[in-house]
Amino acid sequence: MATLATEIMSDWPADDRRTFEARVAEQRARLYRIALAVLRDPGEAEDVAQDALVRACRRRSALREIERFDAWIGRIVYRLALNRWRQRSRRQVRETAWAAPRPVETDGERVATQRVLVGEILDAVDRLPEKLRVALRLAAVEGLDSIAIGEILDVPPATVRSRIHLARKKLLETLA
Amino acid sequence: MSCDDRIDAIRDLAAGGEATTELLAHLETCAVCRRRLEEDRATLARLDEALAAEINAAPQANATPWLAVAAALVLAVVGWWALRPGPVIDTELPSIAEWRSPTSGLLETPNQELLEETPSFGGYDFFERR
Repeated sequence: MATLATEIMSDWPADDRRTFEARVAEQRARLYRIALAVLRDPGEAEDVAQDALVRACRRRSALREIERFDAWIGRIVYRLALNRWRQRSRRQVRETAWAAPRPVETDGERVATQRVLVGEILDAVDRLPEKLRVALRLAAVEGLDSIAIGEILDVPPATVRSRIHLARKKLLETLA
Repeated sequence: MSCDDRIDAIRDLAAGGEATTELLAHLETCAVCRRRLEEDRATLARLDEALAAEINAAPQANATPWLAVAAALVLAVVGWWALRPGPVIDTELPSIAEWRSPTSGLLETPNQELLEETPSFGGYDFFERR
C-alpha cells in the first residue's frame, strides 16, 4: 500500500487496519481497471488508484458498513478518474483549438486492417457522450455487472443497461 | 417500408435490443439486411474484444516494456564484456641488444651507483672465485 496511506493508518486500531488492508488487497486490480476504463492511460490509472486509497484512508469515517467497502472505494476511484478525464479533455480542447486541421483521409489512402478499425472504434467510443462512454467502458471491466456499475455511478442497474445499449447503438451510427 | 427505413431497427437489434415481428420476418427474406445485421454485430464484437483487452490488462503488464529494456541493457553490457577486445600484445620480439631480463629493472634503483661503488667487506669480494 502507498506509504502515505500506511502513515495515515498508523494510529488506527490493529483490527481496523488489518481489515482495511485485506479489502484493499482484494480490490487493488479492480480499482486500477475502473480508473483505466475511464482514463485510457495506464500511468494515470495507477496514480488515481493510489490517490483513491489515500483518500479512502483519510475518509474512513464516511464508510459506515465494511460490507459496502467495494462500492464505496469504487465510487471514489471513479470520481477521481472522471475529474482527471475532464481536466485532460479541457486541456486537449484548448490545445487542439490552435492546432492545424488534420488532412482529410481518402478511401484510397485508408489502410483497411483490423488494427486500424479497432483504433477507429475505440476513438469513436471516446467521442460518445460522457454518461454513455463511461457505462460502456465500465461494462468491459472484469467482474463488474450492471449492479456493481450502478453502485459506482449511483444509478439503478436498469439505467446502466439502458446507457450501454444506447452507447452501442450510437457507436454503430457513428461508424456507419 | 424499405430496407433503409429499417437501418435503425437493425442497429438496435445488433446492440442488444429486441426485434419486432415485422423485422424478423423481413430478415428472413432480405439478404442485404441480414448482412447489415451481421456486420453491425461483428463491429460490436470487435469493440468488446478491444475494450476488454485494453482495460483488463494486469497493472504489472505496464512494467513489461521497462523490464524488456532493462534486460536488453544487461544483455548488451554482458555481451560487450564477453566480446570486448583484449589488451594489445606486442608480438614483435626485441633485438638481442635491446633485450633485458624481466628482473633487470630491479637494479635500476636510485642507489645503484652507490652499490656498485661500495667496497666489499675487508677487501674481500665474496663473489670473486679464487
